[in-house]
Amino acid sequence: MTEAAARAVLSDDGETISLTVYTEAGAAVPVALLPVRAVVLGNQLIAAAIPKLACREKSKANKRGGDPRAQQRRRRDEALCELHNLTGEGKPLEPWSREIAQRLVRFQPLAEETNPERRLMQEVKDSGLPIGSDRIRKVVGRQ
Amino acid sequence: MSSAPVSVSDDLDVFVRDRKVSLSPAQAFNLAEKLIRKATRQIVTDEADRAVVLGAVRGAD
Repeated sequence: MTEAAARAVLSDDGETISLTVYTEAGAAVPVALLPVRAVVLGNQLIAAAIPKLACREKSKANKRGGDPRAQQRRRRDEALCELHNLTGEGKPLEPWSREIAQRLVRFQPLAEETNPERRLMQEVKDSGLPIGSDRIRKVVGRQ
Repeated sequence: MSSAPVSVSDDLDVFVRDRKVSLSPAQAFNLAEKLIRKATRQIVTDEADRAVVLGAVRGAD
């Protein structure tokens, strides 16, 4: 049975490339990779990621009519993705989504926001769309 | 350290032994970049070392 792990970390001591996956509890499972295997794995990751991006671009291009709040939704989703790039890189998505949802509930915009993180949060709030941790996780997970 | 196979699914799940890590496309590109950079560096270093050894052997002949 496969157990879900929280993150994968790559390290290199100059001789061995190691990919280590960590569980939420902190347990580590390291594996050594030959350089050629590492290149193959990198290519597989890129090959699997490209269709996801293409799919996202296609869904953006195909959207017409139907959803009167499509523009707000798109702005909100883009702000969430940027927020994730800024504050969530390398963190497990689920707890990050919960934390952002809680912070958005408490968020009180200033007259002029200069902090990039707070500006993105303001954009999310300004969309006027309801936003919970599940929605955040789905939106960011699609990126 | 284990050298068990690592695999990637179309859904961007990375399987390492009995563990699975789900990645976003951005995380997948990030990991791919690191894998390829580190592997390329090692391959180039190995090739350079081999050339030095071969040069030394030929010089001794």
